[in-house]
Amino acid sequence: MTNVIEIDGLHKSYRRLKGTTVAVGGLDLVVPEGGVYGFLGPNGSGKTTTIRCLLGLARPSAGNVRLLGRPVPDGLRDAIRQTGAIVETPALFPTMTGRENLRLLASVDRIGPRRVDEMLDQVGLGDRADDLVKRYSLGMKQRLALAAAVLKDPALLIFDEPANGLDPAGMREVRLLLRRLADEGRTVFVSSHVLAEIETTCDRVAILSGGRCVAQGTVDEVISSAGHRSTVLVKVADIGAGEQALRSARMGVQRVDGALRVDVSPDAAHVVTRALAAADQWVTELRPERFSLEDVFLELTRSVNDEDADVLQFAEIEEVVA
Amino acid sequence: MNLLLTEMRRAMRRRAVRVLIAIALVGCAFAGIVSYFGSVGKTLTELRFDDEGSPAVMTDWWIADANEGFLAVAMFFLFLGAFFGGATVVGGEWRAGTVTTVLTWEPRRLRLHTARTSSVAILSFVISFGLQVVFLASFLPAVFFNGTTEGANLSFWTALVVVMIRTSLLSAGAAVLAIALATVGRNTAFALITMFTWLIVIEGLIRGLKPSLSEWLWAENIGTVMTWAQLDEPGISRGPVIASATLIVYCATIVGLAAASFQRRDIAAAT
Repeated sequence: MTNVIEIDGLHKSYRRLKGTTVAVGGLDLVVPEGGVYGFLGPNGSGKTTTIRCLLGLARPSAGNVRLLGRPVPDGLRDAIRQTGAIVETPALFPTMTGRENLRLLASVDRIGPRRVDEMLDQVGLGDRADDLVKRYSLGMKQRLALAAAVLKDPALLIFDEPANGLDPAGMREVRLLLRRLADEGRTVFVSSHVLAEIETTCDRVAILSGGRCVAQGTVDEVISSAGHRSTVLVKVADIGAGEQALRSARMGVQRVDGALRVDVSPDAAHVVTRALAAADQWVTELRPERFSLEDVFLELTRSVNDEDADVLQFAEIEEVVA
Repeated sequence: MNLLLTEMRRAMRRRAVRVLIAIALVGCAFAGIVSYFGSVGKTLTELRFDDEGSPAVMTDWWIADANEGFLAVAMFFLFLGAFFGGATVVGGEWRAGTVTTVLTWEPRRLRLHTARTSSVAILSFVISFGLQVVFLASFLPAVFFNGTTEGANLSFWTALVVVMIRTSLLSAGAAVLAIALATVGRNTAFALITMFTWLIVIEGLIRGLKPSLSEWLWAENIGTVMTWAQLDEPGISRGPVIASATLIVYCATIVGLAAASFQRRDIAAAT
């Protein structure tokens, strides 16, 4: 598997009147080909700056960036032909219609009008394609920008907060579109802070905080790497007796809101039921307790912000957990 | 070529450009009406010997020997319109943030900047020439019904076309300058404020305090090129060729700075 994005020691700082602002501080990131890659981070963590550096819109202060194997900015022309992107808010020509906007962009790469019409239909703007963009809602502009990004049939798509300003139905549409684009064999690199969206859509994620990558890997890897072990929650009629039975079976138990949190993996829930049954305690409810990406995200970004912790790569986290 | 055509299409879709053309056409129609009714009931002798000339007399449109004529009325407005149009084509794009979108299709910034500058220069030239034709055509009812075409020989037409081309070239230069300034400042207002501050305040001060430097000023050089004759003013010893070269050097310097600025600076979010 080849890498579509390779970022090595990316630094980007801006000189201001009151000193220097570091937007990205030594980012290393590798995005393999295929699937949806979530690029997560709170506001101001450096996501958009990184994307701008990737697309040659901003010049890195230090470090190397490669897009589809080509160095940025020298090899950008070749890479950009296979890359579709939306950076921040959808920026389209407001005094043109949706169709004219796409045709204008298409003419830069000699893409025919049939492809434009196809894309407009795909994003559900076929009926409103001849309205001026300034009359579009934010959601419609977002969909038009998505159509523009996909217009050149790219191998790599870079979306910066594509669900911004969309209603729940629109967000769902975007999520499905991202998944479909990845299923077609493209790589979708999507930045967001809407974690529920990412968790259900992405194959791999990287979490950025304070301009540095604090975790990366598959969603499951990132969740488990942060030290969150999955547990099971169990309810029995006599909670005291149940607790006693589980402790006797050498299991870690904790009372939580009228239930018992048992420190075993959900895959091993049968040992809990067996221990309780042996003590004549019958389970009334048993469910796995999983940590969400949001829990990990908040924890990682908070710890970095609070303590300015060192960059914690997935491998390092794994080492700590082990 | 593809990018050039794309940029031309985009420039023509700017509302400000269309409004400017519409205003110019209304102005032409107004000039035509005034010239017609202003010449009704006058004899040819009265029209010919009017101190200020008459648009009903075709040869008064442009008098090559005197380097003046009714066409001069349109010149100032054409420069102004070209400058404002050029500035708004680029300034509007920075405001809408579409520079980012376009650069995700064509990342070679110098190429994009060159295509944009060239497209606006070509459009300014064509629109400017077209508007001059419309402006002069608006005088035709006055000429045919109340005035005369007498004296409008080949040399008259040649001189007229030459001055129209010269005016169009200067309009294109104004638009290119506006694009350069709007690119540096990343908005329309920067270009307009800079240009008018320079022309009215700075050049006014230089003219008043150091008249010997007058021949280096934009206004004097533009005036020399427009009339294609050395200005009869103190401190001016430049002919039209040197004045043209001076203007080209000035424009090239500012365009070069703008291109370097566009090439090197980060593209931030919409302003």
